[in-house]
Amino acid sequence: MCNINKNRLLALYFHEGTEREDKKIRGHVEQCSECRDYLLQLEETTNLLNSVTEVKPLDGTLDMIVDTLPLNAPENIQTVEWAKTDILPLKSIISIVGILLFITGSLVFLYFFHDKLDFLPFWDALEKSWAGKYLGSWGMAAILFFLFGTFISMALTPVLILENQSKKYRYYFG
Amino acid sequence: MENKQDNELMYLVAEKNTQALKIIYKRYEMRVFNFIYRYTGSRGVAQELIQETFTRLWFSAHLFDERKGNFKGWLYTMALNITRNEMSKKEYLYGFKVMDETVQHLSTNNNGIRETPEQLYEESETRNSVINALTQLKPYIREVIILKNYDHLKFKEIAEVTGAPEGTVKARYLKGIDILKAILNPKEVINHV
Repeated sequence: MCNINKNRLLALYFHEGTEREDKKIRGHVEQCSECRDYLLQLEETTNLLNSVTEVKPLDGTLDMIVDTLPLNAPENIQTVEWAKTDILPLKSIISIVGILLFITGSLVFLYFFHDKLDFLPFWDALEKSWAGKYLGSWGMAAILFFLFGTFISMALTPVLILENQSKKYRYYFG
Repeated sequence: MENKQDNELMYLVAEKNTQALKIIYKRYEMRVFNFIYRYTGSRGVAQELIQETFTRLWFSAHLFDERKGNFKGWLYTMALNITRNEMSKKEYLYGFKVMDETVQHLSTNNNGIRETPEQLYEESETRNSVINALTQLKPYIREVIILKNYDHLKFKEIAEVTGAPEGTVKARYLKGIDILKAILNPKEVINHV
């Protein structure tokens, strides 16, 4: 079985390779019946695909398009500028606020509960804490990961929503 | 204005010149329409989407930058994105049945010569089988096959239009050809089995 990379056969068939590469592959194909068969099958399939004639759109399509176009469109383009300049900084601000909220929340939590959850040294304190006794070390780890993930998701959600909205603007105006 | 290059016409379209838009439309009408038709398998959808494509072109002409790529690639990217969006929006799941409209618009071929009923039937059958075969491909494979076979884009250009790496595009093309070979030549498949 011939182990030549078929991409090279494609390059030869569609004349997309370099002259040198084409010459090399052509030399191989002359020797290799398997590659010749493959190229023949490729030609048959592409010929069959190409045998289908083209169809025309309905007459008057162009008129329908032109009739619906507002001739003074730059007003709409202004909206694109707004979407690009105003939404992006807003997204950054929201993500920063989200992160600050997370940090502040963590500090507040530590301030009020540090006597119950002595975090230093981190892991030992967790295990010895009142929650650690009930949940065990793995349970505590799971809870912490869950809380961390929740905070991150909450911080990112507005960003993702706005990102989606700005895509809609780009979709509509190009 | 007829002799102007696509890029020059696009600058005029950006200035809201409808004459320039008309010339571009006439140049690319058949290619864009057939691209969408082969992709969706529906002439009705193609009719709807060619309008949307050229309307979008009108609105976004100012975003076209010839330094970033040629106009043809830009137009195909736009048509492809519109078609992808439409297909997913309407949940066609990319599996169209060929509509019974083919015979109707085949009564006159491209050269304007009327064809006999036998020719019409044969051509309609071929068209149906090919379009059916195309619609059985996964959309990301189908778009590569169409852009390569019918629109004669280079693999590098297809990579730019679809947003996939060139190697991936080639792999998709090879896979698509294998599938089409099996669908369009059922006897061969039986012999292999």
